[in-house]
Amino acid sequence: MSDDRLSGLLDGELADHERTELEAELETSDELRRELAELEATRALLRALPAVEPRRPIDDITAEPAFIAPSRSRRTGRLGVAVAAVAAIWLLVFTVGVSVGSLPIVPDVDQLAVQHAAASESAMPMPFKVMDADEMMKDDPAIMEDLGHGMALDAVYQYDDLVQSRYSDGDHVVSVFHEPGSVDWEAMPDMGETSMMEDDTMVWRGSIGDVDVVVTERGDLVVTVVSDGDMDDDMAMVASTMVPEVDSSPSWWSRLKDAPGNLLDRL
Amino acid sequence: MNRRRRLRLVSGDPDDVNDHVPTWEEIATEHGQFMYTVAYRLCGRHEEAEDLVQAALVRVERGLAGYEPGNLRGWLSRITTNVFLDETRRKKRRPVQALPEDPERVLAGAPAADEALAAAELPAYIQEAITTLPHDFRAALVLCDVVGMSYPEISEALDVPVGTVRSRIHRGRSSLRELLRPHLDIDDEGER
Repeated sequence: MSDDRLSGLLDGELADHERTELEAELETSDELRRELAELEATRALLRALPAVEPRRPIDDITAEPAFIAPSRSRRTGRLGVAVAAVAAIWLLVFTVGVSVGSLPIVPDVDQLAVQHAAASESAMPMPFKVMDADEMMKDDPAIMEDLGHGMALDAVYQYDDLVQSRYSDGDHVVSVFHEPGSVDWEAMPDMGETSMMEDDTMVWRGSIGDVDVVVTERGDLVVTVVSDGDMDDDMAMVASTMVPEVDSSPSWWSRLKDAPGNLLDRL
Repeated sequence: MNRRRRLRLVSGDPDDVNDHVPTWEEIATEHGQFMYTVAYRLCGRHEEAEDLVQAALVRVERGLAGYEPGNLRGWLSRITTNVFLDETRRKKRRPVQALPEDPERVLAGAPAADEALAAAELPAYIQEAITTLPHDFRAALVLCDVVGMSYPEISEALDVPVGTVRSRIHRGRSSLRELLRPHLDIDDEGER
């Protein structure tokens, strides 16, 4: 087995006693000396590698501003009841979690709104990559094909662990983002409102510009739903389809929770 | 381990040591190409290198508040490398494309042992050889031989013991030695 002290010697990282021992061994071993020489030559090749010229100006690469970083955003806005319904649907319909940890995060709702707008205009949403929706659905059970009422999945984008599923009925767009983790509710933007539903599910609701945003959790995923403001009516329709006539006992939320199969059928 | 410990000078270049906290714009403008080089050496693809630089700059933006003036390039290298490793782990969880993971695979266009490789082609060939290495070996080797970081610095950057760093560097170099042997400047006596 190759002796990693040789690399340590080349890099000047051996302790004195190790170096002394190895140098004595080198005196008596042609094989070891050759290996050392070859490693040194390999190291020299690597160290002589030139700086890499990007294919396009580095300023263009670094100037792209669409960083989807989970920085804390602060905005005020109205509640999006309809979008909450969509979020609830997602929350309840999803049945498979992704076990990749549950680190508390704060979704950058401002950036996600920007991303939603970019996807709505079919602009290439850097730095998200366009993914093969069919392939993604096979691999990621959090991506659904249909939201109902003509809201069909028409694109999936991915950046790091953040996945955006875009649904459209031709006129309006809903984006559902999901990423591993749990919501750091304490750090959510204080302009929105965090509330606990009757089933103890936490939901944060706010609006940014013309879009409504809902953040919630499902298993080990943080789910952020962004919807055009104009979607309220349609979403309300979706909600009304999903939710039986108002009946406070048991709550519609509880009934939804208890009947995911029915929801799936209706979707 | 104190992650904010100041990195010591790695290359002997006084420009590497900064006594002020740079702005994000300064980093992007003045060190973007350096980050690109590190990224490209790690991943071997221009498109991916662009993504890595962008993602690394996101982390730079988040981390600037906690950055202590010192070896800026060491810090940027550490961030870029960790973005690369995180991305690698993510792809393993959610594979989206074939990766050149297999260290045993034959290099595309690899010349026969007795063929001389044009000097101009050698860096590309070396790069291709680097990308055959397992990611952990690659990260340690790039930080050592491309960036010029010491073993303790690499240990801190990758959050592994110094002994592991030495092992990874050596195993990475040994693999490259096999791939690059025809191009090593060694005579029959084993002398350089």
